[in-house]
Order: sequence, then structure tokens, then C-alpha cells
Amino acid sequence: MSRSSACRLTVLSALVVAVSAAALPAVAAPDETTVSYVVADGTRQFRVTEVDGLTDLANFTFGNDLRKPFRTMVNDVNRPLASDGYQVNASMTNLYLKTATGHDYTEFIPSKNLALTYGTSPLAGTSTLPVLPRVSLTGVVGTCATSSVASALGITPLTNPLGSLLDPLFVLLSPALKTVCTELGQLSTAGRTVNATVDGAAEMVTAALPLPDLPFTLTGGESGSFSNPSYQGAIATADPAAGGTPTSKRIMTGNPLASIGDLTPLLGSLTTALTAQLPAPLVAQTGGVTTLTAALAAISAEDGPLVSTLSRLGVQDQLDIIGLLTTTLVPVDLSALTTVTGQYDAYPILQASQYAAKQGTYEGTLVVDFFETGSAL
Amino acid sequence: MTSPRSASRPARLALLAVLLLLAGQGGQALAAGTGGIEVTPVPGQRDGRAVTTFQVEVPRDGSIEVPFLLSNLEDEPRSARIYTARVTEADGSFSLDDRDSSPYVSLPDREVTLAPDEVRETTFTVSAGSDGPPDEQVYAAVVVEVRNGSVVQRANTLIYLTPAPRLPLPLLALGIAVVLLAVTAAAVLMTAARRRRSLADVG
Repeated sequence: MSRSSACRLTVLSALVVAVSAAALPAVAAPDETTVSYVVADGTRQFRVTEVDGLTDLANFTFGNDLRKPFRTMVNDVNRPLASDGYQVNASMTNLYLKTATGHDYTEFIPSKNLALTYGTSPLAGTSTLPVLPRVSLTGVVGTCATSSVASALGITPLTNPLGSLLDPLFVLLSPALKTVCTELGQLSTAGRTVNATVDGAAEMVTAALPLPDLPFTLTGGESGSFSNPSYQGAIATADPAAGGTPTSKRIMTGNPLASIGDLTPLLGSLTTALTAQLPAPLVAQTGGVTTLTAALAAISAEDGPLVSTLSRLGVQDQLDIIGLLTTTLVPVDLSALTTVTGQYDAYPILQASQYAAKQGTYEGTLVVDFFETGSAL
Repeated sequence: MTSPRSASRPARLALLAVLLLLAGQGGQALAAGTGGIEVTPVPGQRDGRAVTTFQVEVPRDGSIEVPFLLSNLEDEPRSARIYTARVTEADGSFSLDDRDSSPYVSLPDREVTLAPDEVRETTFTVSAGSDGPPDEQVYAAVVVEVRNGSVVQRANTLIYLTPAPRLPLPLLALGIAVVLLAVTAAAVLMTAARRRRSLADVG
């Protein structure tokens, strides 16, 4: 055997040893598990109610039109934007003849004579989203020769060196203003150009968004009869014929838009809603979207000398100068969103068809299932 | 992925107790339910993401306890029936079978009443069925059932069940390490033997 092949074999052996040594700690490591737990701070509640959304649906009595509208609601509170999906399905038992002692399971209206239908708007939703609004500040702060700046500062425009002499108040009582004007005049245009974005405080945007703009895509509205009965509930459970797979109708499915679709309409709707409810001016000492301090801090990142100069002014003068800039709301983007509080509704109608049955009162159970499905859909 | 199953129960409960005191200081946890009662998987996060469903490997032998939390969101006592059941899926639609119908998941069917804002830890049991673990992913659910007259409303938190690997990972790693060491030893011995032969030939 040659020396080179012996070397190769040794190197190979060393590699094998190295791999083995790497594998051993994994085997020898103690089986430690970190169990993390926090109280749920994002909740999702499912309800079946009367159409008013307030009263739990408990008993349904058919009117002359043999229709009973109701409502299913999924309420999300403080859920992530890309939260898990859900599904709401319904099944129906037969309607059994009520007797003095219970129910006659030989006399019933089959579930196939009951169906789900919907009105013109089977699904609806509203969302409340905490948005971190951001304000864009752009423009050029003029010098004291600029009428807008002079007006904001309450001085005569310094259009020539003698200007200050023509304004005794400026000269005698406001030496700080003179300093400011001097410094502004010494700054280049670039040094007075502002292009900054300022974070505001969180705002809650409540928007009855159109369906395509909701954070969840809602589908469903499956209609049709309940061909096979369910045997859930106190009444049908006792039916001697219980068995088989019930017919299930999908009332509503919610899939998080953030994981499957285009968020542009949602973000556009939020921007529109936010714009409509935000105060003016956007930058204010109190009550604005953002504060003067935050605005100056943002400007200072690129225009430190300008902010140093403006800081010599009183608060109102500073606000007036900032007010000369173009202040606009930055369109809402994903980074501005954190959680969603929303309500997603379906409006099914339980419809009974005419059926020749023995005279009496018939009772059954509507079973509505909500599935927390995770991200598997 | 952390697993609640490999921690001893006393240790886990102790840890939960401590963490309960620190509630709210960790990542976000999510829950879902009906009638004011919600189910939160423990741990509430996987891979840094808050989750609301269970993903459990069905063991090939024995059983495991999977913890979860029942919480009452309301400021008054709330009651619900809690149980587990098999879930079937067809064309994307889920259907819940009868209570205790899952061959892999069990939880005693019981009526639970929670005080206002009460959070209670409980567990369900996962074990291989009489025919062993499933061959592929199957479903079950933790069910919160509330009855209002002629209406039964159920909030079903899905349990995604997959078969556990045939050989537990630590044993698999140990086996690989043993094989590699054996190969190494053989290679060293062969090298030494050949080297001795080479030296003998030269001599």
C-alpha cells in the first residue's frame, strides 16, 4: 500500500472520529425542555346569535315563511395580522315530534327538509387595527428673507442688510431672532432641506372595510339541504337510528390575508380611514399625530445645524416653522400594523320546506361547529 | 421545537406555576373558544410564532400528556363541556365526530366551570391506537361545547396528529455514533496493519 493511500485512510479516519465526536454530545445532552407560557393576550370567540348579534340563538321557531335567520360571529381581539385561520360549519338533526314525556322518534321531519340559504349579503366584517401612523416632513425651510418664514416669526422680511434696522422690535427685543436669522442665512439650501419621517403614537383605526379589504378573506355561504342528519344534542342523541355522517354546510371560512393574498387594498383602506380621523395639524405640542420634539429629533438626524438654530426659537415659533413644511401621512404599510381586532359575521337562514307530518310540535338541534384550523388551510 | 412531553410533569407544573406569576412578560399567546371559555396550547409558541392549534406526534409505545390551558375571559363564572373527538376532513371541510371518538386522543368528557378570569391547566392523553399510530396526518380536536336550548355551538381546536419516528432521535444519533466509531476503529486497525506490512516488506 502506498504512503499516500495510507494518509488518505488516516485522514478519513480522523474525519470519521470528528463526526462521531460531534454526534456524541447530542446523545449525552440532558433532555431539557423549555416550557414557555403566558396568559393568552390574543383571543378568538365564536358565537351563534340572533341576527341582532346580541342575543344568543337558543330556540328557533319558524314563522309562516318557514325561515329562521340567524348569525354566526367570530370575534378576534388582539390577534396578529397573520393569525391562524378558522372555519364555521353547520349540521342539523331531524325534527322530532314532541310528546308529553319526551319525543317520538318514529315521527320526525327529516333533516333533508331543512336547508341553509342566505340573503344578498351572507358575509360581513369589521376590523379595528392599531396603526402606528407616520408623518412625512418635506420641504425647504427658508431664510428670514422668505416672506413665509418672516411671517411665521412675526418679523419684517429681511430683504436687505438694512432690514433689521427697519424693524426696531426685531433688533431691540429679539436678539435671539436675529441670531436665528443669521444662522439660517448661513445654512446652505441643502442644510435647510428637510426630508424626514416621524413616528406617531398608535392610533386605533376602526373601519367597516369592504370584504376584499379585510385582514381575513371570508368565504363560505354554502347553501343546500341537510341530506343526512346529525345526532348531536340532547334530543337526537336518544334516537335509536343514530349513526352515519351528518351533512355539514360550510357557513364561513376565514383565512388570514397576510399569508395568502394581496394586502394592498387593506392598507389603502386603512390609510383612507386613518387620514379621515387624524387631527390637524399632524405635528403639534399636544393632540397631534406626533409631537414637536419627535419631529425635531427626526429632522436632526440629517439636519443637525438647522434644528440647533430652530431650537433657539420659542415653541410656537418652532411649530410655525415646521408648519411651513409639507406634512403628510405616510401611507400605512405592514410595518405600521401589529394586531387586529375584528368581527367576522355570516348571516345564514335556516329554511324549512313543507312536509306532511303529524300535527304537533317538532323539535331538533342546530349544531354549529367552529374549527380553529391553524395555518393548515 | 420544544416539546411539553419530554419534561417531567412535576417539573413542568412547577415551571408553569412560576411562569404564571410572570404572566404577560413573554411572547404573545393566542386562544380560541366559545361561551367565554378558550383553549390555549402549551407552549403557546412554536418556532417563535404564536400558535392556536396542537401538533402532536403519536408515540409508538406508551402515551404522552399534552398540556393546554382553559381560561375564562369573562368576569362571571362560565361553564362548558370539554372533551376530545376525532375530526375528519374532506375537500377542506372539517367535521367533528362523536365525543371520545379519536383512537389516539382522550380526555374525560366533563362539564367545567371556571371562575371569572380563571386559568386552569389540564391535559389530554395521546397514545397509539389499537392498530398503532396513524400512517399519515390525522385530526382530532379539543372541544368546548356550549348548549343554548336548541342550538349546540362547539369551538374545536384542531390537534394535528402525526406518527412519531420509528426510532427516537437520541437513540438514532447514538446508533449512528456507534457505527461511525466502529468504522473508525476498523480503519485505524487496517491502517496500522498495512503500515506494519509495508515496513516488513521494506525490511
